[in-house]
Amino acid sequence: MLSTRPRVAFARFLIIVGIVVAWDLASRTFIDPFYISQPFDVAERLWDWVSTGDIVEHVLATMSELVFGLVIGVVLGVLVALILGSSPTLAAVFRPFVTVAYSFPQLAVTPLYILWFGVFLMPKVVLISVVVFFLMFFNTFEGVKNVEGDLIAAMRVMGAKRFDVFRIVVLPASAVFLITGLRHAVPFALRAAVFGEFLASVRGVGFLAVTSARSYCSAGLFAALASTLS
Amino acid sequence: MINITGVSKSFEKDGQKIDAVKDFSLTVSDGEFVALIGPSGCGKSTVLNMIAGLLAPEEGTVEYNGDLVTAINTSVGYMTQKDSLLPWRTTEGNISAPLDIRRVPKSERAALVSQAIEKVRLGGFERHHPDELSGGMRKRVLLARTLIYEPDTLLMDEPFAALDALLKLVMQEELLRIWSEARATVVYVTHDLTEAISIADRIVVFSKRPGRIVLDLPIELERPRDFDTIRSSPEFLKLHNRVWATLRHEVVSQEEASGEGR
Repeated sequence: MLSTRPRVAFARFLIIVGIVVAWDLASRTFIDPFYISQPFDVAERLWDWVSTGDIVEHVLATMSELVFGLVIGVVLGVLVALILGSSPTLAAVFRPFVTVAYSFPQLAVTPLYILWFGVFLMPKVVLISVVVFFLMFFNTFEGVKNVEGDLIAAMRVMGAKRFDVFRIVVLPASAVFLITGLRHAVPFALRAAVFGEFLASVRGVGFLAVTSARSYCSAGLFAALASTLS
Repeated sequence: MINITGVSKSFEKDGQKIDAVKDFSLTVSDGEFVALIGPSGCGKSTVLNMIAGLLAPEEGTVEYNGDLVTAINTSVGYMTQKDSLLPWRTTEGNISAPLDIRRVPKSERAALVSQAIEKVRLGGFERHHPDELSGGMRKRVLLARTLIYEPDTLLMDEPFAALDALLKLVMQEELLRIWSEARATVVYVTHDLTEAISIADRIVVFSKRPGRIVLDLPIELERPRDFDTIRSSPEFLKLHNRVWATLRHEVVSQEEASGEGR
């Protein structure tokens, strides 16, 4: 009798095998592999990229976009949220601007970033930073706002100055929200990176995918997208 | 010594101005245990908030040890009904928060914290988080946190109101035991008459809103007090009836007044 954890893992494994088998069967019977490729072709393409080392350059490019974009976006988002969160006046002045900027479709601005910053690393980093900024800002701001006034009053009577309140109450209290923000930020950053590379790039997994797509190579497209899982 | 002279304070509620207290005066001597009692919403908590410097009076003055209270008064310890523990800190961490704020060197903190934990009898729960503690234990942590920086006045706003009747009794006894050692001044807000008479040296009865003092009565029951015996003593009953006669009138008219307002 297996315990729950290995059983769950085993069930997942079966599902994956099932999907691959179904995919393979479909491509051999009623769907032309031109459209959906074949698992074996995708694996072969992927192996080809890995064994020649071609893929390293692309994965590294996307990774560095992610790292820079996340760091900048997280730092700015958290910082601005903490500042606005601890000053009601500043929050009242700037909050509407942030909300309007947020409801603006950020991805649609990407061509502009490409125009300004070229086709290399920079425009993707900017795009990721912007997307991540808003996610982190709203989550952290919510966290700061959630700190109860009574708790702050209690600390003030104990002698806490503004910075003590921040250090002892506000920061730890918003940590949970901050982590929630981060959990959303990472997949969104990846989407933004690949999207940016789709529009204009010379390397990256999005670049791999889009070049495969342009040559109607579905195996390459699948293989490129599979490599983002790494 | 706390000296409140002719203070008024009002609040906006639904666009209406409501006087919490009006031309209110009260003096509390050092080491005195005063209970403030009155119908709910009569401005008792407002008075505590003004002593703590969290609220400023619109008129009149609040003096603490001869100095005008114009900012947060950090010589007091304030314990409210609300559970203001930090959920991510352990018992020790919560109790040492004031020491952290007051820049007590780290090397001295541990000894002070373990003393405080012993005082409120929380030994064995040092590493527990608030959500792992019972309601009574959380009150003990709050009490220890309030006492650890040895404030010379304790402001207590129905600190045990959320507890069940039996636990409340235990905590009142604990408070008296600790107070008899610390000998701080205590201003204790409650709407429990039995509680007020059992623990205080003096009872101040508030009128309905806006709060004025309608009765200021010394409680000359001997200390240390044994709750089991004093609550059935003739003096206790006499005091109870005396205060209740006044309080009842205020509670009833407050009820009628808020009924009319609707």
